[in-house]
Amino acid sequence: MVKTTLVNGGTSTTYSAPYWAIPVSFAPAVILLVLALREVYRGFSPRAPAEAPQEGSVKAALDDSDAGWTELVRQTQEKLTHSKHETEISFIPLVLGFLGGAELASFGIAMLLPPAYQTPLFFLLAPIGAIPFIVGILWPLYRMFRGSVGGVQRELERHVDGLTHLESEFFVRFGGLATPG
Amino acid sequence: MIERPDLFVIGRLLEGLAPAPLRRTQLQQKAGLNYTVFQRYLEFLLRLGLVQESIDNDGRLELTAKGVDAYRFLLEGLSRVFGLEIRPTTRGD
Repeated sequence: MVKTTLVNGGTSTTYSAPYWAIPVSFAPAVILLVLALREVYRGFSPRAPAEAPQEGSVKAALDDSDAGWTELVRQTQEKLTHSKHETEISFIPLVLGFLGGAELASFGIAMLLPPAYQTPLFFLLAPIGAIPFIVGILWPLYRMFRGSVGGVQRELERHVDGLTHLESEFFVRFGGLATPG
Repeated sequence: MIERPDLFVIGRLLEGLAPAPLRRTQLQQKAGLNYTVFQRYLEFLLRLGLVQESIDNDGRLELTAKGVDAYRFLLEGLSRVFGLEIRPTTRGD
């Protein structure tokens, strides 16, 4: 058992809880810290040169490969799906997050209860509320932040613009048309 | 007449003819198009001069030099726009 004493004004309260409650309570904070460190590491890492190939290198690579249209389209779809997934926020995690947030708020209110009721609330309600809060709200926010910093949204727009440009260039060059349609 | 030709369908048709000339039905099956759509696109490609009917090859469809150029243009363009990874061939020759 772990014991801790909180002094509030003139009264002191001693809480006791099993050892397993400590890692459970701290897990959300550790997860956030690891994610933050990972982003800092990624932010300072040099980008792979393959992300922005030059025209010459693409031509040379095509000469040495069997890459066909279907294979390239499959890779394109994978990239687009990945980019879209990175910029989406789904509804269910958001609801879970709000429920978690509400639970954390109720935990705050519960602290006004007599000390005998506070101990289980402190060690159980807080982590139970914190985990969906992180999964539902902090995680999507983190992904949005990562997407915005990593330029996922800009990359998605660049791909769509590039495709439109490729289409008009194709029809100007091979079809004698300004734009199809 | 196609109002707005789909670049991805054109790519599939050109890819189908890239290795060797094919009969119409073979190309239609390879591209996975229904007959009406296939006919429209084929007519479109014939009109642009990207595909022709081979005289020596039993009337099979084949890519013209312009068609080969167009196919390369599409492959290079798509690879460049999306930064795709093109793996070298593993042929043993």
